[in-house]
Amino acid sequence: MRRGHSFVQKITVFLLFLVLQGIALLLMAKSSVYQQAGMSHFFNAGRSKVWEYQDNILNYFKLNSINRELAEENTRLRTLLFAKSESAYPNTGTDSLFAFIGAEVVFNSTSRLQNYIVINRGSKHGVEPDMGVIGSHGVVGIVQSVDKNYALVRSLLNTRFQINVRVTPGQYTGTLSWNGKSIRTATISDMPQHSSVSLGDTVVTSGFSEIFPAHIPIGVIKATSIKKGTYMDANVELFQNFNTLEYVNIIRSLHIGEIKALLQDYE
Amino acid sequence: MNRPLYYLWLFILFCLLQTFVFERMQLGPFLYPCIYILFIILFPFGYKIVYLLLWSFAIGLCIDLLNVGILGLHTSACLFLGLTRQSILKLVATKEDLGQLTIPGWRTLGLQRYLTFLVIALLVHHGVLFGLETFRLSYFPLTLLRIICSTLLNGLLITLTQAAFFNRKPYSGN
Repeated sequence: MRRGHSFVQKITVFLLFLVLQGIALLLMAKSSVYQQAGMSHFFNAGRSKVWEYQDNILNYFKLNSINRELAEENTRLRTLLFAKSESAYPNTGTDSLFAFIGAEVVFNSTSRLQNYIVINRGSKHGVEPDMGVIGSHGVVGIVQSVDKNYALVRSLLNTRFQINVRVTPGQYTGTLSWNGKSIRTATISDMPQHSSVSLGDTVVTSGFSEIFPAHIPIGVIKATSIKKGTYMDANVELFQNFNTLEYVNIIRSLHIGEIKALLQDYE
Repeated sequence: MNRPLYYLWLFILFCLLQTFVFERMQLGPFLYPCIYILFIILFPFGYKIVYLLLWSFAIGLCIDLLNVGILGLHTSACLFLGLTRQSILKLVATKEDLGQLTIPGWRTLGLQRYLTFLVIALLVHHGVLFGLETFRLSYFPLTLLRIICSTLLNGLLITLTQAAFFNRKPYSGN
């Protein structure tokens, strides 16, 4: 009798486990592609608001390093301005192809393999999905989904993030992705062995997509290794420190409508 | 204190701690501080697994909703821990322990068996969490390393937290 009772209990426990696990898996299956997009905007907005309050408090402790980074960025930009070089950042004059929207990081994670960043600019400020995001030291990520006041950015530190890069001063272009091992390094994989890439070369965006303009810095080549005797992998040390990320710029391509229309015609 | 109310209070406390303190510690992909697991550990031994599963589901879902990440990941990991917790305890505890065991802890189990229990529990939780996060065989060595590193970190974290704040005389009776 007692045995039968405990058997029924075990079955109940297991069934409940299966049901709850089913719900969890369903949530996962629904959320892994466009994870927060399906969630209610009200909830997202409330959550982001809480993060923003919290970030405001935490910022006081980071003021020193933020100031230093902004000062460094100022110096670099001023140098560029006077040198009138066309590298690094494109100018934002009236005939520019790109415009910038400044934003503050509200939430940032680096401890997962799929990391995301939440910024305090949203559709109200003209942010749209698939816009590029850069920090003071280079590429940060791509906007994935947008709320009224906030946007969710897929971080470069996300194993599902890929970006087309150019290795300068050579002209090799390839795909850079994160390997999940360290928040300071990323990898350019499957380069042909003969590609003229050497240690210390700078990795910048290629400008082949309409998301990022060309020549935005990403990192510097730290090590190369031959994989399976055929292809070469390069380890790239990132310029951007994602732990101290506080202010970012969202890149808005002004001609994206035109480019998209053109591509549509072509198809 | 009223028991359900006590656990509700703990529930809120651990959700807030995890979200506002431990999620903000950016220690890189290998060290993921996860204090809220202590909530599932702090239930008394004889606690009905059905209720434990519901509590585990609730805290996992809350952590998922309060943080950016794949929704349902923590929920799944917590459910596995809730389901296996009793069996792990039976594995490490002796007959005498089972008779008088209330809340599994340093004092009630002895340090060695408590740590064994904690490490197995953490391996279950982290195994599901990190395994499902990547869900690719090519990441296996990386995932394994993440599981081991985070288990060591959280083992230390949870042992210290429990010793400091939850090691008073545990509940008597069932």
